[in-house]
Amino acid sequence: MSKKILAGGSLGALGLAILVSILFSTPAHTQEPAKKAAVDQTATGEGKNIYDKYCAWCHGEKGAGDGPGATYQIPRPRDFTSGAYKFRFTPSGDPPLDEDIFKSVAEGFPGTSMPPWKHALTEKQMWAVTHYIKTFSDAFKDAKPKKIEIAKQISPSKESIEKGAKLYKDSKCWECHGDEGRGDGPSAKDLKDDWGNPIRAADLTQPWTYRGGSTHLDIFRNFTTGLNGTPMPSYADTNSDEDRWHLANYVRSMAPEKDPSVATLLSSAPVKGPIPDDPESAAWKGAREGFLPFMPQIVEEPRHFTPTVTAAFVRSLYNDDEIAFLIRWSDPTESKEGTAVDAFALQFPAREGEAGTKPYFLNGDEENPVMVWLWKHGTAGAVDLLGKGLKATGPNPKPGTFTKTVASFNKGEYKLLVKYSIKDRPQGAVSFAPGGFIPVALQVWDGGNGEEGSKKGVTTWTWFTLEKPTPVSVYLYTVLAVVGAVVAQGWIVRRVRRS
Amino acid sequence: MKNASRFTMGAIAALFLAASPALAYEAADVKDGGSLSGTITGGPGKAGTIKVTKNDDVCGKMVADESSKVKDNKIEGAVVTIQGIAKGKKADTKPAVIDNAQCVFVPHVQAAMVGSKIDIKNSDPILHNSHAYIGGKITTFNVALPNKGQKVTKPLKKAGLMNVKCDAGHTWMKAWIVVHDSPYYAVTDAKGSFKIDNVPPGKYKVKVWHETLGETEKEVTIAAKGAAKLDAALKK
Ligand SMILES: [Cu+2]
Repeated sequence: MSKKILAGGSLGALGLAILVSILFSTPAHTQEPAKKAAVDQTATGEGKNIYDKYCAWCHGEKGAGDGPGATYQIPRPRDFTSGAYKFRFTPSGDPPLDEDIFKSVAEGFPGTSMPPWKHALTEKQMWAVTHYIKTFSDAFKDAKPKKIEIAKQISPSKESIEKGAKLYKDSKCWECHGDEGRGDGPSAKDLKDDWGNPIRAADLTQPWTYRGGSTHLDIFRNFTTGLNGTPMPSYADTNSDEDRWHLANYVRSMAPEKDPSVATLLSSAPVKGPIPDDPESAAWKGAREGFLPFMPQIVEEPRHFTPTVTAAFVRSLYNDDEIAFLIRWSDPTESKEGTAVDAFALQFPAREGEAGTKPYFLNGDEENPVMVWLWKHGTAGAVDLLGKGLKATGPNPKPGTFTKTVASFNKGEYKLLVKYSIKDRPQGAVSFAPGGFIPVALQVWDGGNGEEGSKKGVTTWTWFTLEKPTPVSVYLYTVLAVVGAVVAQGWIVRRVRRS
Repeated sequence: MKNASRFTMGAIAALFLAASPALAYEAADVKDGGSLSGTITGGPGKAGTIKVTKNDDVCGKMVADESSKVKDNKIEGAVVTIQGIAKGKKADTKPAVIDNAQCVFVPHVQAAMVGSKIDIKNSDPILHNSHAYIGGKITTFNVALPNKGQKVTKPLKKAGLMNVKCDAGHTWMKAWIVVHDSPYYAVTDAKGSFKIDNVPPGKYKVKVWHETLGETEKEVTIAAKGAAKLDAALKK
């Protein structure tokens, strides 16, 4: 492997590690505000020292969100000069409470580059920096932000969730967030933040990407205050306290209670007879689903720092003739025409002899090429490509056969089913033998976000295995073991009684 | 000790409040008040329409472009403000109004006094999302009005130029609110004319602003019971 590849690979792995740690760090749960520590509130005190040392790299010396570290961060680091803070307990348009800023410093924001500082700084230091941050904006000068009242929580009963569902419709939340919450509503396209940067409506089905935390209270607060600096408005005046609790309960119910964890091993389950084409069939519903987050492709030019698709959910089934993958992912826009279309790719090592090693994760290289199964929206079906690097990927001279490609886009979610013929695979290609371990990597393009070519979301390699069909002997051994244990126990009991 | 520090804090807060611009203006009887009137001219105007790209069943296929309404060189919708009056006539206590009607803001441009309130209304059976900024980019309020007949009241806390947009996909919706530090303001009518009355006699700076046709500043002297004239030409 060449040096460049090593560097690229480790950079990618590092990126993934960071991304994963960001995505799955403990979310910033809303809690009682910390007590204010007595600190020096002047601009030249301890707060400035801490800020200059730890915060200025991203947020800029003067707090304008323009530090050298800000260049490629999405979302951009907060610009403190306007006094607009997204997550607060104050009314729409008002600056935050001191406690709100303190909490942001202490807890950080999941899904962003802002880490929780409570592990690195003392409470006193965090208060000092809180006061220093306020000096960047005039918004705090003549303002006395008042805390909003949090009405008594309504428990997320079935009835409350149903009420919330109706309110979601009536209050037109779907205009931006979509009918099923995937951020694909008709008004989601042209959204901009206060700084004129494009901004996406949150995918409510993925609470691990909510920046401001995903508890019911976090969601209730967001409805009440709106997110300053973004198009998310306040509903405090148009929906009652109870209504906002019902809404919070409904929104939280759109997502699984527990965030998925990143799959370290994807698996394919054997089926007898044909593999069903219908994703809703019992065989597919019963298949284990693996969750893989994407990271931006920032290793090779042209790079892409802002991919839309955050993650994919992968299932697989196989029989003697075929192996099939069923993948679903959220994408707010359907694009099937023009140069940038929605697309998805699976990568495997190209050769059977190298099935146990991981090639370079961006389409392989000359020594360890990869097989790329590429599906592009608007085309007849998946195609088999041979990759020897991002810029050296083309039609596989000995292509495999896809017996079926079924793709659907519905309410912001793609479902892609690809069937590959194991039986008719080209000579030397990966055999997908049961029991073995094969690395797999994914790539995704959102055409609506101008993603094409190397501008895409990528994963590094994850192990994939075909579960062996359970042989009859396994059942036999199990039965024998149980019988044996019972006999042995009886013998021991008898001996004990005798003595 | 604790009580004493609390008292000090309270005193500081009180000072802060006293110094805030919202409370700086003092209403009093105006003796021998004069008036200021005139005509604002300039151009060129543009009597275009803007294509509606969403909810055209409610909004119609086109809406009027109100960004530069000029007739015979006379500008409608220019805002005239007299600067630096800290004591004078009583401000209007009725809240200002901005209505989302047929997918445009009504009125398109208005002026109001800082510290007063504004009613944000929706007369359309669709979602409007009135997002107001002050100084071009800082959100001052952002309210959703998902249904017809809804009304939300918000305070106008800061003096300055506010612009309002709609985040519900109605990219053409735009409005302007000049939030002034005294009740001495006016918006020109279709003939480009304005009148401000009950002004305490004195020498003042007067600002004229228009969203696309430029702005200017003039000096005027308003005599006791006098009727001062100010005709200004805006240049881009
Ligand atoms: Cu609108």
